[in-house]
Amino acid sequence: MPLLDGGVQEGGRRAGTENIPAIAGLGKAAELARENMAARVKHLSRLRNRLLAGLPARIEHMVLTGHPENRLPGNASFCVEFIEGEGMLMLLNSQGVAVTSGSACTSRALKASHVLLAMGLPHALAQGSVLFTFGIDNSEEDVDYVIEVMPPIVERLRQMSPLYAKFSKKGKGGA
Amino acid sequence: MPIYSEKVMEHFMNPRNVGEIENPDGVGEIGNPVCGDMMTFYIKVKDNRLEDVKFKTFGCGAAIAVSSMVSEMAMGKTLDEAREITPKRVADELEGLPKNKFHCSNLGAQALNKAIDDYLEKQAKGGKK
Repeated sequence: MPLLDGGVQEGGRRAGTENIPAIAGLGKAAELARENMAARVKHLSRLRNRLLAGLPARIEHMVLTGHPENRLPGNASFCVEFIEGEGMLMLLNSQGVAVTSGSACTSRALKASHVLLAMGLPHALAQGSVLFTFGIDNSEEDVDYVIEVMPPIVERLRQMSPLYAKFSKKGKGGA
Repeated sequence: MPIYSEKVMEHFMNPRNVGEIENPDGVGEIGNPVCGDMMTFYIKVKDNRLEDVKFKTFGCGAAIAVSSMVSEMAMGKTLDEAREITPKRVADELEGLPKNKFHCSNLGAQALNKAIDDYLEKQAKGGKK
């Protein structure tokens, strides 16, 4: 079983020549990342915490998934009750905000994230997953922008949702 | 995000006939949260015609666009004409749906059909009109 496909050297088992520039480049990138890691972690954590504090405060029935502190510095994942993730994603996208829903590696499966289900979330709630990840180029203004544009998007989708209608009538139900 | 046709995007961004009908003549509910799409259709019938059609949908962009399209296609139609709305026709009107989203379009036509069934059942039981 060859490890890499290509030429006939090494008996066809490990064809190809090492990509020296790429190896050197990756080494340099790792070096730079390590040098700036503390500053990056600080910056990303600040953005993440701003979103974690600001968004659920503006949107009812929105839960954080995962630990509030022991998580990747630039990662904020939520489940929004009564609505489905893709609609949120599309409307956020139309406002210039790039997010994902569910897990990227199963994004074609249309099913709720198996991870969220394994964490004990009910299906309907897990369908409303939305994941924000920050990069070094993001700023606090970006976070504030999200906190401003997302509540009306959630409200708009909830007004369309039969689950939310049932919840509003009964005061419970939904997920 | 799957690549949707312009028509799907247009219906998703500006869905028609969202809401509920008070005292509807028929209601059709379909889907469940496990499959990820749920639709409820409400109809008002007058002289064997769909005088009003409204819907509420929990689901992806395609599911919302499909619901909107079905409501538009059904509005003003006779019950028999409305029965002829098939998933295939809905998808065609929307200028196509991604393959893995086609099941959403099945739901729209099915939910409408269930609402019509509900109306006819009520009629048979000697309901109003």
